[in-house]
Amino acid sequence: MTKENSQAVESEEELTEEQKAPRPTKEEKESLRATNKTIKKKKKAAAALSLRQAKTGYWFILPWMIGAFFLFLIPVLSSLVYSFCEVGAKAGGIRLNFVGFDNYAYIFTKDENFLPYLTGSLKDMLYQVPIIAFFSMFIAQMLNQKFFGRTVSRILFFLPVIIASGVTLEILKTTGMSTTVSLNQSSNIFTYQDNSVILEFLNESGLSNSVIEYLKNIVGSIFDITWKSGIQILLYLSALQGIPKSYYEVSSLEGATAWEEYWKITFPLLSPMTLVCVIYTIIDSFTYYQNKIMKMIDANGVSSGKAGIGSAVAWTYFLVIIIILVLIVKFIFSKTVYTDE
Amino acid sequence: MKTELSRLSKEEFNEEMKRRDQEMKESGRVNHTGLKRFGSAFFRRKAMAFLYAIFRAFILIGLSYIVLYPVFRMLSKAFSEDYVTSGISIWIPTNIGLNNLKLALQYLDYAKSFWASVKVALGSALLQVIASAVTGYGFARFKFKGRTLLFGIVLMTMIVPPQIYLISMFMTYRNFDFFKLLWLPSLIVGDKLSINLIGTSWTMWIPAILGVGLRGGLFIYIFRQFFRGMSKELEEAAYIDGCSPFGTFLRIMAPNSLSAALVVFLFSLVWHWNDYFVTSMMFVSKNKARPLSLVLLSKTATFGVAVFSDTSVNKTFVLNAAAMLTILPLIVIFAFTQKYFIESVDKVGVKG
Repeated sequence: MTKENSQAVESEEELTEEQKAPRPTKEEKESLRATNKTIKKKKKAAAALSLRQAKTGYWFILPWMIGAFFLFLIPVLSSLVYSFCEVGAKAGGIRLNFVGFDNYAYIFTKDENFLPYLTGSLKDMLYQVPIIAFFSMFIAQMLNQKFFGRTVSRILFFLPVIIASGVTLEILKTTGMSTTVSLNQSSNIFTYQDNSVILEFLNESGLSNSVIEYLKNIVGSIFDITWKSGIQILLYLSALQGIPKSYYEVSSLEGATAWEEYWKITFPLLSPMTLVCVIYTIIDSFTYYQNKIMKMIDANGVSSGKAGIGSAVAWTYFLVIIIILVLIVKFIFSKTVYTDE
Repeated sequence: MKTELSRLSKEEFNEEMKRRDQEMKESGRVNHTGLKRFGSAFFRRKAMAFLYAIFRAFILIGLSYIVLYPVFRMLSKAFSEDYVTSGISIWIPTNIGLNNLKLALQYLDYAKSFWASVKVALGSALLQVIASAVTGYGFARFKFKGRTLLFGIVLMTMIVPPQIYLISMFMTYRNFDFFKLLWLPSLIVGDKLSINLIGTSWTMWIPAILGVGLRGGLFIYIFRQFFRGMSKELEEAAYIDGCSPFGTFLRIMAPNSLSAALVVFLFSLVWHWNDYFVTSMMFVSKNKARPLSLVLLSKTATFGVAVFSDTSVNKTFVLNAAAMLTILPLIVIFAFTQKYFIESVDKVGVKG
C-alpha cells in the first residue's frame, strides 16, 4: 500500500515542478491535464491492487504452503517425536514407544562415537568456513577482472560444482590420488600429500604449535577447499557484478588507493554475500554425506530398528548448528551493509 | 581538478602523482600499502600491473591444475588397459582401449539407469523452476499477513538437512494418501487407502512441484531476490491495462526472468543428477531402475558383482570409467549452456 502511494506522490511532485516552469504553452497545459488524469487512474488502480494483493499473494504461494506443511513441517516435527521414542518397524508402518530422554541420554553417555564425531565435524567446519569464504572471495575478484583466458578460467571453476556434489568426487579422490603416490615415486612432486618442504619451513618459523597445526590443515586440504568453493565463487562473482562502477570512479577521482578501495568499497558491499556464503558453507559441510555424524544417522535408520537414536543424533547436531548460525549472524555479521534497504 | 588517471600521458601522470604525494604529506595521511615508493610513478604503475598479472596467472594456473588433475586422471584410467603394469604410466596409458567403458556400461546398467536419472533430474529440475518462480514471485511482490514468518520457513527448509526428516518422508511416500485427500473414500471403503510411491520418480517430483524439493529453499530465495530487483513499471502498466496478477506473471514477469530460470534449472539439474542421499532412501529396491549416481555407489548390485569378480581387470579403472559415464551428460549440457549460464549468473546478481 505505502509503496504504491509514495510512488504516486513522487509523480505528483514532478508535476508541481513542471507547473512552476515558466509560461507553459497551451499544448503543454493540455498534456499536463492528461497526465493528471492518468495519475488519478493509477492511484485508483493502486488502491484496488493493494486490497487484492493479500489474497493474490496467498494464491501464489499456496502450492508451496501445502508442500511446506505436509512435506516439511510435519516430517520435521514427527522426527522430533521419534527422538523421544523407541521406533520399531511393523507391517506397512512404524511402531512408537515413548521413552522420554533415553535416546539423548544414550548418545551422550553410552555411545562412544557420538561425542568425538560431533567435536571432530565441528572442528572441521570451523576451520574450513573462514578459509572457504576468503578463498572464494579472492578467486571471484580475480575472475571478475579482465584478462586473457578469463572465460576459460570461469568455466574451469564451475567444474567442481558439477563433479563435487556427487559420488564422483569421492571415487576420484580415493582411486585417483592414492595410486599415484604409492606406485609412482617420480610423480610425487605433483601430489598434494607431499608438503614436507612447507612443513619444515613452518616448524622452523617459531609459530605456536596450534597455528602450525592449522596451517598444516589448510595446506593439506587445498584440494578439498578448491573443490568445495565452486558455488561460493559463483555467488561472489554475481555479487561483484552488482557493485556500481561509479563507486570506484568516484573513489579514484578522490585519490583512493586500491587498498583503500578494497576495504572501503568492495569488502563492505560484499558483506551480505559473505553472510550468505558462510551460511551456505556451514550448511554444506553439515549435510555433506561424508560427514561422520551424517553416516551415523544413516546407520541408525528404520531398518536397523534404532531410528529413535538416529533422530536424537540428528536433532542434537541440528541444534548445535543452529546455535552456531545464530551466533554468527548476531555477532560477526551485525555490521553487514545492505544497500537496498 | 583531479582527472581519470588512465587517460593521462606519461608526463601528465608523473605530474599528477607528484602532486598527490605532496598532498598526502601535507594532509598527514599515510600510504596504506606501507611500501616505499620507487622509480617514476609511471614505471611504478606498469611494474605493479605486470607483477600482479604474473601473480594472478600463477594462482589461476595452479588452481586449474588442482581442478583438472583428477579429471585427467579419471580420463586416463577410464581408457587404460594397462591391467598388468598398473600405474606405471601416469597420464597416457600404453594400452588404450574401451574395455573399461564396456564393463562400466554393464556395471551401471547404463540405458536403464540413465533413463531413470533423466526422469528424476530433468523432471524435477523443470518442476522446481516453475514452482520456485511462482513462490518467489509471491514473496517478492505481494504483502500479506504472516509473510515474514512464512519466508522464515523458506529459510528453514534451506537450513534443515534432509537427513533429519527423511524417515518420516519415507513413511509419507510409503503410504501416500494425497495429503489426507483419501480420507473420505477411506471411510466409505472402511479400509485405509494409500499408494506406495517408493521406487518411483514421484517421490522426487511431488516435492519439486510443491517447491520443497532438493534445496528448494535456495531456489525460491534466488527467484525472490531476482523479482525484487526488477522494476515495477511493466507490471503496473499491465495492471492498468486490466491484466490479472497471474496473467501479468505469465506474460510479463516469466519471460523476463529467463536468466534466473536458467541458473536455477542448471543447479537443480546438477544437484538432482548427483544426489544419492535422498534417492538412496526413495529408491531402495535394487531390482527396479535406479538413478546413475546411486548405482555407481552400490558396488554390490547384480552387475557390480559380475564385473568386480573378474580378476583380470583393474577395479579402479572400471570405477573411473563408470564415474566418467555418470558425469558425462552433465558436462555435455554445461558445455552447451556455459555461455548463457555465466551471463545469467552475472545478470541474476543474487544479493544477500
